This record gives sequence, C-alpha cells and structure tokens, in this order.
Amino acid sequence: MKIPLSGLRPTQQELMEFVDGTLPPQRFREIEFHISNSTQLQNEIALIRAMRTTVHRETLVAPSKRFTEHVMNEILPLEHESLWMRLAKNSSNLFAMVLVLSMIGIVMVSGPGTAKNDTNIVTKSIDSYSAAYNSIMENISGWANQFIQPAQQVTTTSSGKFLLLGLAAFFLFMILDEIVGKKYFHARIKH
Amino acid sequence: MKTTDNDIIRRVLDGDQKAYAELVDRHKEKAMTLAMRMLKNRHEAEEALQDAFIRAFRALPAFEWKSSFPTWFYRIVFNVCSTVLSKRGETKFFSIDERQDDDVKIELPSDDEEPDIAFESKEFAAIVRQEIEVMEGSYSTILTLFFLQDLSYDEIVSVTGLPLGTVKNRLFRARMQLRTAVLRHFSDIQPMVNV
Repeated sequence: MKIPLSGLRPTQQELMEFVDGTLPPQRFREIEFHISNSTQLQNEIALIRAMRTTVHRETLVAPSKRFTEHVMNEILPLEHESLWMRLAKNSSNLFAMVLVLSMIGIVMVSGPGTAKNDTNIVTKSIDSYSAAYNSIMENISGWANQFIQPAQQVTTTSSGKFLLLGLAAFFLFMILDEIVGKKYFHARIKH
Repeated sequence: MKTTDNDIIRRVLDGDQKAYAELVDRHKEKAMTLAMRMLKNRHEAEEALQDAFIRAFRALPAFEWKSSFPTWFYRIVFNVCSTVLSKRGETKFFSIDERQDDDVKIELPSDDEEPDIAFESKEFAAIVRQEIEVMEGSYSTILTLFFLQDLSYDEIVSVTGLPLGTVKNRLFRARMQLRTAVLRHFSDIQPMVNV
C-alpha cells in the first residue's frame, strides 16, 4: 500500500510515541513505513520497547513484609481485649499481679486459724449425711474465719496497711485502664 | 471471576473493613515504588505510603467512582510524598518553569549502527534499575507513573497536577537518560542521538 509520506524522518520523541501508541494515525503509518525500511530504526524501537518492559517488570519496590498488617492495625477499630488478656500479654503487669497475689496468699496462709479439722469432714460424712452437713457448715464458718482473722490482723499492722493500699491502687489502676481504654477505642472508631 | 477494586471498596463501605487489606495488598508494591521514586528513601517512603493508605481509607466514602482506584490512590500518595518533599525544602519537583520542549525534535543520524544489546539479559535490567535509582525524582516519578502504573498522560496530569507539557517533557528526558545509560554501558555501541 502506498503511503503519502510527509518526508520528515521520525524524531526520537516520535519513536517513543510510536511505541506508546500515542501518535496520530497518519503519522503512525508514516513512521511505521520508515521503520520497515531501516534496520537502525528497528533497533531503536527494540531498545525503547525493552526499556519499557524492563521498567515495568524489574523495578518494583516491595514494602516490608508486615506492611499490610501495620496499615490494618492503624485502620481497624481495635477489638477491646479483656483486661486479663492484656495483662497476660504484658508480662511485667502479670509479674506484678502474681507478686501481689502471692503476698496475699502468704498473709492468708500464715495467719491464725488455718487448717481446722479438714480430715474430720471425711470421717463424719461417712457416718452420717446430716453430721457431714453440720460439719461442712462448721468448716465453712471456720474457713471464713481464716480470712477474717488475718484481714483484721492486716489492718492493724503498718505492713498490712501498705499491702492493702497497694492492692487498692492496683485495682484502681485496672478499673481506670478499663474505662479510659474503652473511651480511647471508641474515639478511634468514631475517628 | 476476579474481584474488582470497586467491589472491594463497596464491601468496605458496607462495613467489611477488613476487606481493605486486599486493596492494600494489591496496590502496595506499585505505590511503594512511586513513593520510593519520589522520596529516594525507603523508610520515609514506607511511612508515607502507610499514611496514604490510612488517608485513602478515611476518604473512601468520597471515592470518585468514575476514576479507577489506583489513579485516585496515587494522587493521595503523590500528595503525601509532596508534603514530605516540601518539608525537606525540595521545590524542584513541583517546578514547571522548565523548558517546555514536549515537541522536541532530535533527528536521528543516518548511519546504520546496529546496537548489539541483549535486551533480555540481567545486565540490561540491572542498568535500567540502577539508572532509575539515581535519576532525579521528578523524572523517575513520571517514568514510574507512565510505565509501571500504566497511566496515560492525562491521568499523570490528574495525579501530579503538573501541566501536560511538563509531564511529556519529563517523561521524554527520563527515557533519554535511560537510553544514554544503556548505550554508554554497552561501550561498543555508539549513541545514535546525543542528548
């Protein structure tokens, strides 16, 4: 097919646009004709295409592996975990909690009135259900005394008062954390 | 059938916010490449990209359905990165008073040089990669948007806010810089056009 040529040799810009497919149809056909008759232009077109393909294929930069997770952590309203779960995740808090509970346990165990007639329960329950019932009731009241007596003792000593103060502060912190935490999460959800 | 970006956006807007992760996964690499080209710093680029994804999520209700998600999102990435550049005091990126030579005519010489370049070789790819990394951000960004993101001139204008002439000019110069680097490397090849 005979193409009416403008006589202008293609410029570098036009060769790029030829590869991109952004040339006007008439000029596209003219340049196509020039290319078909020139090894040099064919090589040039091959180079332009190769650069395009390489940029497309070889130059991607990936973000870090946990990128999506980080983005989603910022975006999603965080599900409000229970206090105990958060304590469990935070080992220092957990350690403090265990320490406090251990101290309470030591005070309770070492207090007066421990280990009352535990073995009698079994013996009496074998003899008679009613006797066992009475015995259990007695033991319950005795067990309650185990807590009451040390507690009374604790409130009368300075170290016991410190312990109670510490416990109160600890529980206050947990309650405040719960309330403030919820408010914070709600604010983020609204945001 | 593959889920489209618009399908995912609808799910997110309907309350399935976790679906947004799929959009992030789909577009993070190309967007990261754009941020890297602009900022030339991996840490800053990743921070900017994270910021851009969060902004896009919040702006999803205002998403323009007539444009594609990538084009819309790249505009956000571009703006976030532009803010970082502005804070650095780098204004050259946004300068449009450069020579508007989008209709530049560089005539090809008539001698028949036959470049002997292995286009598929690792060596060729390495040169291209290396040259893009050292290329001025204002050029490599346009190159990335055009080649990697497959955006049209008009879409690049929409993303960057630069005039069409500036976009074409920068793209041309970026390609010529790449071409020169390739030809320089393959030393037995004489450049057909000196730029």
